[in-house]
Amino acid sequence: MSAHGGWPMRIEVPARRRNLISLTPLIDVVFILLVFFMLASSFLDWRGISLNMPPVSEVGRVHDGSLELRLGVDGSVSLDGEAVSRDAALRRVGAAVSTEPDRLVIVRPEGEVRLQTMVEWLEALSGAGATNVSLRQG
Amino acid sequence: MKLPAPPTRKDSDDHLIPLINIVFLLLIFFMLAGALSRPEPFSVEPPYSDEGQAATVDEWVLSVAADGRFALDGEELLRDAVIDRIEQRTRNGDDLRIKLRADADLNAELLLPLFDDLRDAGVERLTLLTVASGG
Repeated sequence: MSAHGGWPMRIEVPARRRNLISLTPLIDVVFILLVFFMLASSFLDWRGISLNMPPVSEVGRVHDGSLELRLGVDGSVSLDGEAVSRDAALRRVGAAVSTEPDRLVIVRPEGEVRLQTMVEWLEALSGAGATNVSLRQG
Repeated sequence: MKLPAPPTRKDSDDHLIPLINIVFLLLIFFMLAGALSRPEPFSVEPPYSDEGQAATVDEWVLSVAADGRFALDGEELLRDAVIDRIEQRTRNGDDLRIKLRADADLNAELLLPLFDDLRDAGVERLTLLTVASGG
């Protein structure tokens, strides 16, 4: 049969690549996994500050030559019983530990002082060079 | 004779392949970059700090919520039960490092007696978990 014979022309349909499995369920599963991992994973950058745990025998002991830093709720600071500013306290602690690196610094926060404030002080003290810092109940 | 091009019936799924590629990439990113952590029974807003070494939150994590609730490794417990468990563990002479994930709003009145009790329970090393503020 020719194209001129009145027959409809037959057009070769290109062979279609058939998917053996449909992709839609796969996407569903992958989406569910994605959402799971997005919700379940945390991207917080955790840091650890090591705290001194003095042995039980040392708790009641009076430490000679230790610096005592009292923190008030209103932000007031006193170093060895003397009210000072934050910067002055850090300067004096820094001067004291520069001659005697092992000097114990006892931080006694008042009852209502927040943990964030304590952490900032621990940081500031270690920035000033104090290595032997202890948090005690005021 | 000029024939109109046969309508190219694209396979209905073909246009989804770039989407799947992206979703797979995201999936792999979240699987590798994110750390899976045990969900806490309450939310804890840790204090911010710039100091301290990078820490992992894995085992013996003691969480303290702002309202004073306690959880050890994701299990909510009473304060005495927490101390008991830790004591049981340290009694055999194990060196136990407790990681304390405490809320930044907790005050000294509640935390410092806890430190004392932990020390009395035999904890020699305590790490206070904070979050880097730099983002």
